[in-house]
Amino acid sequence: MAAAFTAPSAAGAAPPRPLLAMAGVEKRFDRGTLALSGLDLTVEAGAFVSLLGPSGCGKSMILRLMAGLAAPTGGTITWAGASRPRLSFVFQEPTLMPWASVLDNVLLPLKVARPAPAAALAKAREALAG
Amino acid sequence: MSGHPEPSLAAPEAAPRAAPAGNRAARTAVSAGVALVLLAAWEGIIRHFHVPPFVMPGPVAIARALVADWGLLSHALWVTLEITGLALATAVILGVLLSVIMSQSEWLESTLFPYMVILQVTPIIAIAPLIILWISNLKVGLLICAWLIAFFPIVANTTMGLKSADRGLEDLFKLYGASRWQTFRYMRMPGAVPYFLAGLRISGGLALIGAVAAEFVAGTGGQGSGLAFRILEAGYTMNIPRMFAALALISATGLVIHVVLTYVSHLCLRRWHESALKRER
Repeated sequence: MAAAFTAPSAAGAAPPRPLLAMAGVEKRFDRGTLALSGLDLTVEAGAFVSLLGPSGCGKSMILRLMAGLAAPTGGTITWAGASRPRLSFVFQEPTLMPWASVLDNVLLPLKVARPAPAAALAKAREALAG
Repeated sequence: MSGHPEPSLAAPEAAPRAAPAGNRAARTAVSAGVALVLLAAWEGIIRHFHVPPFVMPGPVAIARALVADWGLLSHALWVTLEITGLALATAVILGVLLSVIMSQSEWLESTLFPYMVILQVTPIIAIAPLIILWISNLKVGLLICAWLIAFFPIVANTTMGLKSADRGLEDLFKLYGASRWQTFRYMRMPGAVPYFLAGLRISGGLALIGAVAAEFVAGTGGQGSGLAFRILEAGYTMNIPRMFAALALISATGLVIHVVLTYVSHLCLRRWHESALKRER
C-alpha cells in the first residue's frame, strides 16, 4: 500500500533529468510484512512534493528509503548525481541528545563532518544567535 | 504593575524555592528523630529486662566497644574497605570494557552473556572456599570473590544502556554519516551513563557484601583481617558488644557507599536525565 503524488514540473519547461527516480521500489521487513511495493516516484529539481496517505501506508518508509536510512528489498532508487546528495531530514520525533547542551546539539553535524573545530563553533553560535 | 513588572515576576520564583528547603530540613529532622527513638527503645528494653550484654548489647554498650576497640576495628575496617574499593574499581573497568565488547555484536553478546549469568547465580559462599584455596595470596583471593559479585550488575546494566540508543538519534547519526566510533562516542556512551550508574549503585553494596562473605570463608586472622574476621573472633570469645560494633561499622560502610554513589549519580544526571530532574509544577 503506497500513495505517491508527484508535483507537476514547471509548465512548458523542457523536462530535466529527474533529481530522484524511484522505480518499482519494494520494502519487505525481515518478518515478511510487505510495507511498500511497486512504488514509482520521480522528483524534479526544485519541485515541491507532498506524500499523502492514511496512517501506516508507508509515507515515512518512502522518506527513509530516500535518505538511505532503510534499504529497499526491490526496485531501484537513482539520484541525478549518481550518489545520494547531502540531505536534510526532519524526524517525526524530536531527535535531540538530552545529555548535551543546546550548543553541542547544534554542533553535532559539524563535529561528525570533521571541519576545523573553531569554524564549526563560530557557525553553530551564529546559527543560535540568528 | 505600573511599569515595573519585575516584582510580579520574581515573586512566584522565590516561593517554590523556599518550600523544598524547609521540607528537606523537616524530613531530615523526622528521620533523625525516628532513629533516636528506635535506639532509645532498644536501650530501654535491654535495661528494663536486664538482658546481659553477651546475649544482646544495647546501643550504649556497642558505642563503648566501638570507642574502646577503635584501634583494632579501624584497622579491620580499612582492610575491608580496601578489598571493597579495589573490587568495585576492577568491576567497573572490566565490566564497562566487556559491555562495550558485547554491545558490538549480538553474536558476541549471546556467546559471552551466559557465562556472566553463571557467575552471577553461583552463590559466592559456595565458591569462595575454592577461590581462597586456589589463590595463594589471600588478598587477591578475597578481591576475586568480591569482584565476582560486583561485576554482573555493571555488565548487565551497561550493556543494556549501550543497546538502548534512541532510534531517532540512531537515524540522525546515520544521516550525518557518522562513523562507528563517532556514534559510540557522541551517542551510545552518554546514553548508557544512567544505566551504568544504576549498575554501579547496586555493585557498590555487593562489593562490600562480597568482601565480607569472602572474609568469613577465609577466616584468617593476623595482619590481613577485616571486619568479618573480627565478628567471627568476637563471637568465639563471647565479646558480643565488639561483634555488634564491627557489624555496625559494616552497615555504616554500606550506607556511606550508597550515599556517595547516589550523589555521584545525581551529579552526573541532574542536568538532563528524567530520574534526576525535578518536575516543574
